[in-house]
This record gives sequence, C-alpha cells and structure tokens, in this order.
Amino acid sequence: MKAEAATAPTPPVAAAPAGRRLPPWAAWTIGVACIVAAWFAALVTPGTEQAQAPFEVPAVVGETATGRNLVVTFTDIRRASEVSAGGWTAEGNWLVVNLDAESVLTEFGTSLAHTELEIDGVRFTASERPDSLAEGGALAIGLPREGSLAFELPEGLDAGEGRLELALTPDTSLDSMIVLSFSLGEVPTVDQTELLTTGWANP
Amino acid sequence: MGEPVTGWWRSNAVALGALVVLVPATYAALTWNEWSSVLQGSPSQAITVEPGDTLEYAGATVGPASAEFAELPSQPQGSRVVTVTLRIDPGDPELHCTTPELHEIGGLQRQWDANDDLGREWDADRRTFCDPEATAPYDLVLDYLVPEDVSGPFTVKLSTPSALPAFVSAVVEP
Repeated sequence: MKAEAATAPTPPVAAAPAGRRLPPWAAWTIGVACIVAAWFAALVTPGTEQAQAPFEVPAVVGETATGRNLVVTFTDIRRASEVSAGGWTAEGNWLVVNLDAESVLTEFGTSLAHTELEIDGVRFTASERPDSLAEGGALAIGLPREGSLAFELPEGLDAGEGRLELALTPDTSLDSMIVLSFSLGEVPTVDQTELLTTGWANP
Repeated sequence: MGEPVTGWWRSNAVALGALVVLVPATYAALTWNEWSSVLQGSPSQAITVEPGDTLEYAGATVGPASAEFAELPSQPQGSRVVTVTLRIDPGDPELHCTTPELHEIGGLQRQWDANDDLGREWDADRRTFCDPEATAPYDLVLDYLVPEDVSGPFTVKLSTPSALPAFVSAVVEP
C-alpha cells in the first residue's frame, strides 16, 4: 500500500485509478470463486425439513425428560401377547409403555397428539383400541397424569431398533419431541399385561 | 488509499443515505404487512380491569372480578384450585365470549384453561361461559387447577370476536 501510494502521484491524475485497478484475469477469478463459494453455501444450507425439525429430548425409562411444554417420565416398558384395559382384552404382539406426563407453560392444546413408534424405519401409531393416554385429554401444568400407550405390532416382529416419539401436535416441527430409544429384542416380555387407567399420578 | 475511499463515500453519499433509510423502512413495512392482520384478528390489546373495578366491553359491563383458593374433591395432590368469579352485566347486543383463561402475572407467565372436572357439585345456576340469552346480570364462576406453589396475582382473560383485538384482562389476587 505504501509503495503504491508513493508511485501513484507521479503519473497524470487520470492514470491514478488505473494503477489500482485489478488485472483482467482477477475479476474472472473472483467471480468464479464467488460462484463456487455460493454453491458450497447452498449445499450446506439445511432444507425446510431440517430447519424446522423438532427439538428432540432423549428419554430414559425412570428419568424425567423435559421439553418446552411437555414433561414425560417413562416408568415401564414391556411386550405382551395379551393386553387388557378396563373390560377390554386383546391378543397380539403388543408393546406397552407406562408414563407420567405434564405440561409446563400452558394447558391449551396439550394432549399427546403425536405418539409414534418407529422400528427399523417402519412407523406405528399408538393403538386406539384400548383407552389410553393417547386419548387422555389435556395435560395439567406441573401436575402429572399417568397412563399407558399400547402399540400393536405385526406378528413375528420381535427385534430391531425402536424409537418412541411423543409430541403435543401432529405436526411436530419446531417444538419439543420426547424420544425414547430402545432395542426391541431387549424389552422384557410378559404373557399378559394391563394398561394403567388414565388419571392423576398423585390422586 | 485513505483519500480515494473518502472520495467514494462522498460521491455516493445520497445513495448510501437512501440505503440507510430504505433498508429499515422495508423491514418495517414487511413486518407490519405480515403482523397487522394477525394482531387485528386475535386478542392482542389488553384492557386492564383493576380488582373491584368494572369496564364497558362490547356493549356489556364486565367486572368486578375476584378469586379465592378452594378445595374440590377430585383435585390431585400438590395442587390448589383458584375459583374466579366474574360479574357480567349483558347489554345490547348480547355478549358472546370464549371461556376465560387464567394468566400468571410475571414468572413463567403460565396459562390455565377452566377445569370442570374437579368434582364440584352440580349447580344449574352456575355459569361457566357468557350466556348470550341472559338479560340480567350474572356471575361467571370458573375453577382453575394450579400447582400448590402458584400464588398469583393473575389476570382473567376474556374476549369476544366482535371486539377484537381488544380483550378484557381482569386482575385478581386470591
């Protein structure tokens, strides 16, 4: 810069900017570099699905998982070939979880609207056949409600990586999602099990 | 280097000045365009009613509002019930309203919906929503289930579609 400034005053005034002008090849090089940089920026920009992905809160059986407006404690997980709830009974390949759930900030719109189980990429929703926490109504702030969720799986499905997702809205984007990961093969199996009656955890 | 740069800033001063004005103005215009209709159509302008006061709202007189802690048979452990009583003097036209919500002032600003599942004894005269057929003054009596450590004060939020974006925010302290 110093050297340039020293030589610049010697030529006539009109030539002064010419000395500072970039060589012709530089403009093209910079242009191409910008396009390449833009291409990389576009490559690493997250798509809508990633940008609006739910905020996952990992859960462990027996520990409390806290999201924005949803607090869940899974208390038990088991598989059974026969489940009952109230006077209802059904045989099949069932996965049952017990849990406590409460809200944090507001009660409006706080039912468990998203209860999905993914096993090796195949997705199941909680069964609507028994009375369960899936239809348990609104959650209360700071006052846990307890209940069960039951998933009816195809006969013969007894192993694989499981992922149980809970959220407050069917569209889970941009809100907390409680996620319990487990291995289906390691889940304890019983012959017969009963779903918890949905109600206050501390009546 | 210093002098030509100054020259560039000086010769482009008008354009730069316009940029400084137009960029924030564009941002403000886009924001207003997006949000004004949302805010007009939702309860966004609170009209506060202090305890013991009344207020004209959508042709009716709302207030006074009061609240007290109560105990009801079906409430779980670790909870308390806030029972809110809100006087409504319907005017003309009749007042429709959404079931009032209870809002915590300060703290986490939590919001509760009225709860009619707490084992309160059935009373045919007890109203839990604005009765558009009523002509005489009546009381709304609403139960809210809150955790034991919540003490208030609260506001009771009541709105009617015809008066939006204004809504009544009645302060109560049990």
